[in-house]
Amino acid sequence: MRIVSFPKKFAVAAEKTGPTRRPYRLNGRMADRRSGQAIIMLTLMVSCFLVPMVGLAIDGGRGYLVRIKLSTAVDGASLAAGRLMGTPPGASVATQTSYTTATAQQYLAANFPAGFFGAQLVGSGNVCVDPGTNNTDPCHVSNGGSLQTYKIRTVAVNAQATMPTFFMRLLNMPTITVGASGVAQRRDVRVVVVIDRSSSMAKFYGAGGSCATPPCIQTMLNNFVNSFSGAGELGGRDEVGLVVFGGSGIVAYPARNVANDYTDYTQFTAPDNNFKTRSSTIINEITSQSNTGTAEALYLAYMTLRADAATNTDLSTKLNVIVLFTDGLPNGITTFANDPSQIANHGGNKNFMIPSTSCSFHAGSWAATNVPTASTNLIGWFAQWNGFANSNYNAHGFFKSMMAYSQSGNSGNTDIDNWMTNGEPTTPQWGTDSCPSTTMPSGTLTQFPDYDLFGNYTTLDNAPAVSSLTPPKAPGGKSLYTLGSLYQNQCGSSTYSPTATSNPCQIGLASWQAAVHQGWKIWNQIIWSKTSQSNIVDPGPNMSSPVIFTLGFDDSKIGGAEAPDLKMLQLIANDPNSPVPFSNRVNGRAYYAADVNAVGLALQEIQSEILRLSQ
Amino acid sequence: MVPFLASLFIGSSILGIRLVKDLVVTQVARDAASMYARGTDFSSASPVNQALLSRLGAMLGWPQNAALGSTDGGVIYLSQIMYIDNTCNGNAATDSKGRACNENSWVFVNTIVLGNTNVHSSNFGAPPSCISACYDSVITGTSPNYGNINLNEAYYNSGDVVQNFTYLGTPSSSTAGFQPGQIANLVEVGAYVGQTVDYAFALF
Repeated sequence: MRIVSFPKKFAVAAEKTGPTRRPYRLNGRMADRRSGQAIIMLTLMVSCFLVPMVGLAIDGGRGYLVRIKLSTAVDGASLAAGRLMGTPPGASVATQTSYTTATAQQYLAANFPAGFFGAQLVGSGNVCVDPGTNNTDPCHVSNGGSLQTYKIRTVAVNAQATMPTFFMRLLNMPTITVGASGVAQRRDVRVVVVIDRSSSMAKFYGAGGSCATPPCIQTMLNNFVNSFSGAGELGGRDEVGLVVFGGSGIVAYPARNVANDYTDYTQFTAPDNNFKTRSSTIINEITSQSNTGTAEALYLAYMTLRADAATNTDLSTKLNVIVLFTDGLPNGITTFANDPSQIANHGGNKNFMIPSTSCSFHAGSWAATNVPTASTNLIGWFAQWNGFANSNYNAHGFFKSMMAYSQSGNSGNTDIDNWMTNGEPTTPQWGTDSCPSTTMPSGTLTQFPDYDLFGNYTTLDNAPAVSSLTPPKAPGGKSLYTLGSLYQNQCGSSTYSPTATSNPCQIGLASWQAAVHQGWKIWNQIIWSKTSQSNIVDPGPNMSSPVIFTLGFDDSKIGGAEAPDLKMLQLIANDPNSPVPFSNRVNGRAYYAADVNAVGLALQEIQSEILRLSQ
Repeated sequence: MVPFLASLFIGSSILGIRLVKDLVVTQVARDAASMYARGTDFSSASPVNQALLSRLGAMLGWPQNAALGSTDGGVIYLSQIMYIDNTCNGNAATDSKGRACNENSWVFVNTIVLGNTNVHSSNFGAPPSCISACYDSVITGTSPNYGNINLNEAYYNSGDVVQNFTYLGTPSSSTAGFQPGQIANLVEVGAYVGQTVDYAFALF
């Protein structure tokens, strides 16, 4: 006879509820019956409860793991396909959609190897590509919410996988099916590409886009521009503008209107998405000539980029980018020699830049509709001539600005084509108010302007604060220009002197500071106001928050001039590696290409960076 | 019965813990890849971002307030790779040093390694160790720790070729899908789970 003893707590419970408060003692028959019941109960519990629970835990856990892996796969697929949307450049919407779909499916399969915990993908995944041309949500990504799909390109990937079970099959569940979905969206991009065509680039630009020694930079630039989604392509809302510059710059696309005053930020035209045909023509037409007026080129780029800031509510939703490509050091400045504001700052001395012995002129006027063509205004660009190595080689100028004059009286695209093909004006904007009609005579310029035509200071230390912001100093409180290779190499660490106008390196330092100031103004969204004759915070109201990428091409060892100044390029871009980066402003990046091949490769990197930032 | 139940319980527990850690390793790979593909800098120039990655693996015993170290129980390989087709993606067949292009190969264009490489080596090889010569101090002016490999080296240094990467097939400009010259972001994670090593990768 066996006595089945309950655990103590049951015994106590039984004792409390029993009628005689006497512990149970079971007789043999009852104990046998209870023993059988316990075995049955245990068997039932194991088969009906424990095994399914353990099975659920194990198979469920495996299923959850498979689901996480599938989530990774759809995330990777959607993100990669979104990033690589617009492939191949220039193809139709249908072709680009098929490439995007194929890319997503490749990434899905790559991230979910067959047999992961025994699971297999069901099909190749469902990929939905929405070009964002209207408010509909064909990919159902907003899920009843308010996720924006209009003017946003979307890739949505849905996938399922089936996994065989170990334990659950005992309950007639031989497989588990899990699903996951991923979404990637991409903003539209507005890019203004700033192209240096100074004379040192002669070896690398060819008529019609050909060049003597391929690979050709014009081809690389075309590939770069064509990587954006223009009209007729998937999305088709990227916008590209082109600024081409030597000593003088011009907004080549969209074609500037020569009647508009280019010192007035309200008179610029924004880039559009019809850029592909014209941009290719313009880039292939570029003829190398002239000097390097970097500050003016950057100014034109920013004015073009934010031209519709007053009205375009989409501007702040776009990724707005300026890409500066240059092969040398800035050596030119556009100025207003009889600028009434600067004359006032110099005690009313109209001849603070150009002495009266050279020409006798009046104070100029900003009131004219088109400032540069006002008869009494002496506006144009001057530059160092014949290289930094030539000491005592006076500034040349004042040459006409391409933005203010048409070539041969043409207008529109024909005018731009002529400027691209024939180079910049060689005639000086010089001949009014009894000034000589030839190039600025030696020694005429006695002082550099305090700031150029666009409010960029040639002595950065003197730049007034705008909204409590001032350009930075170099470490140790030194002037910023002391960081540059121009100061350290070409200038032999000579201090900047605004009156040393016959020294080419000093012209360079003035230009260097103006260019860096313009870059600083762009990523601080500060613009030149013709009305107030001062730098002001961009009135918007739609802010472009531009990102600047700079690419310096060092052709000094292969027939070019001097090497670009990487520190200057970093300062202009607000590169995180800049000697004085502003971490609370948009960071761009500076690239340095050591040879022709590297130009193309660096452009590829910039393209990748732009596409990545647009997500 | 007791041994059966006990083994069921212990087995379930071990398997459960293992599954959870598998899950963590997979999640770390996914999160790291997602951030890396979006441009997050995980180089030594951004120790905060490195510490963030390490914190993702807190359940694996990784440091919570610092980057993964060379003696910790985990490793993360972050790589950007690119396919070079038989046209050298339109570049010259040889470079100025006379080196042949890495045609028909995947190459590294960026690589960052965090943690203890003894835990698990990369399944796809590693770029050459010519840090000062090959890395991207030329193109970007940045220090080598950003991991950007000079693209000239990517194209022409045979040591920069990725090994055993077949997940995206053979990209071709004549076939829809991933194209030569495009960048793929590859993240591998290895971590000690008990005495064994768990491994996960993600391609973004």
